[in-house]
Amino acid sequence: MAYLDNISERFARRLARQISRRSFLSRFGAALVAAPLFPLLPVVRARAEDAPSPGSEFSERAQSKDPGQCNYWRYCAIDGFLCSCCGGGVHTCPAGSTPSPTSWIGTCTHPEDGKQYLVSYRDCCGAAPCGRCYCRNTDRETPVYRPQGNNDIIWCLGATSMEYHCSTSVLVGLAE
Amino acid sequence: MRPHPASACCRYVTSWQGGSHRTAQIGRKVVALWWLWAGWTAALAANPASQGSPEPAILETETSDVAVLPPPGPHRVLVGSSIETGGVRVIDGDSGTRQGEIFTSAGANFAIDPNNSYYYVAETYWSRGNRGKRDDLLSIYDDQLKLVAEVTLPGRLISLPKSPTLAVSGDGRWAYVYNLQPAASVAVVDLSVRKLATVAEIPGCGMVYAWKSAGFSSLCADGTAATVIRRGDKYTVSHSERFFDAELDPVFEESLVDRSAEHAFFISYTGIVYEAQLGEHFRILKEWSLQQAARLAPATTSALEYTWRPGGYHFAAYHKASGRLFVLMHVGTHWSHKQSGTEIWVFDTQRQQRIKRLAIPAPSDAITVSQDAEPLLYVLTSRDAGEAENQLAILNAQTGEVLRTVRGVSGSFAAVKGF
Repeated sequence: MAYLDNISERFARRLARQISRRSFLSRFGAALVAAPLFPLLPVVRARAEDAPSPGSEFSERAQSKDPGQCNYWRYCAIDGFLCSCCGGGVHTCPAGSTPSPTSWIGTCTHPEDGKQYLVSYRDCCGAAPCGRCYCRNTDRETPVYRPQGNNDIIWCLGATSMEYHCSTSVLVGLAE
Repeated sequence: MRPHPASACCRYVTSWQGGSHRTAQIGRKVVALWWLWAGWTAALAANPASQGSPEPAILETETSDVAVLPPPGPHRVLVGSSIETGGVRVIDGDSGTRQGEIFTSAGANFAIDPNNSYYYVAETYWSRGNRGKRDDLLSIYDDQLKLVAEVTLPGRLISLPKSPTLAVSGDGRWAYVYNLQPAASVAVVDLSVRKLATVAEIPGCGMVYAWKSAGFSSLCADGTAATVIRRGDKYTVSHSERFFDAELDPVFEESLVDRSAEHAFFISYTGIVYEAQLGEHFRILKEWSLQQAARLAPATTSALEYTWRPGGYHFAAYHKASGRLFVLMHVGTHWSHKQSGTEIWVFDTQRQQRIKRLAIPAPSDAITVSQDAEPLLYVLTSRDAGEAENQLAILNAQTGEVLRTVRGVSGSFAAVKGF
């Protein structure tokens, strides 16, 4: 019996080390829910091969339809007011403001093609803070001492005005 | 006999009142009663309360004045700094009352003199609001919150306020203001003469972690710490060995420094605590995990691993005398480092063990703790706190009991003397 106890304990400890409690519960729950779908597995597997591999908690719930929402896929590291809600667009500054020549950089996963893209987060400057659609996403966001990845800096450096209005998200290209 | 004039008068009057003496008497009584009634009514209307009581004293005239700030006790806390124009509020932790306020520009930062004698604000103004001539300043306020000096700065970083962008040396002599335009540098102000002393270039690094006297440390994008030493009028920069991964598991900017002991707690996103000795000879003293100290598996950089992690902005506090470290913790994945804390974990840094979990009234991004023998823990609620937003909860730091809540207080961080 002691031998069986040891095996059980080692298995449990290894499981606990490898996955968190919440992760375990979610996987266990998912397995229960998935049981009735087993007959559909080949179809599901075919779709799964096209699906992106999840890169972060954000990318798991990201969407590519509505740039007025914080979970729009390109906003994975944005911090500020969305220009899409302020009279501008995903990469467009609202009238009355101007894009800053400097920016911080993010790497976001497109939910449909699963590819990772480099994104330049460019603040629009010169008008008062927009005040609409505040988002705070932090994928791969780094402190000020690594400024290229920091989204707390007022990135109006080099603009004609340091007044922050809103933030845009400009595609730079594939990260891979 | 010559008639008496009065008799003539009276006779004439009597005669004028119609010749009837009785009618005249009645008329006089009616007039007298009317005057009596009119006077009584007027008196009542003027002061109904005075009937039967002595005449009240007239209120003294007043002049405008300014409250005198009481001497700072150990439980004074300052809360402020915002991305928008605002102020730094002085609050008495024992009563929860607001005692005064310092005006600050948008994106300003503040610091407390080690003796609580002065308060410093690093701030920026433009001559025409959002444009015009830029003016970067270190504004110096005395212990009555009166502006006593302004030191012009060559520039400063404007960001969501972070406490290590302005630091004062442990002896109160030097103030350091971090700048990024976009080259990284630190403006050094000699507070003894209230003048800019020099500008120290710190390429590839950022933030200021002040020492007791001349010199400071910074953190760098290559995972090292910069040691910046004063040599005459100049500062020299050297780097430590690489001790953290700035890209995958950076240490928080709001890591803690006991300036008088030059002892730092650099804490990484995954919860690794790098205890470091600052000064001319930087060295890592200890390295331990917050999660392991709580008998959990250490957190990893896996983006899908949910576990307890440190997070928020001004996310930690240190009580020097007891060696206790307070950290805002939440359950999340890697890169959830700005998620508001839902609990405060208390660690014994000598034994590297978690000794308590404190519940907090609402999610929080910023905490600090007083440094006396009966410490108070100050907890600022986060912008995600719903109705509890903009509140300062004051807790007994030893038991976690919520003693009082101050409403209408917002800011990026709270600060006490020493931290």
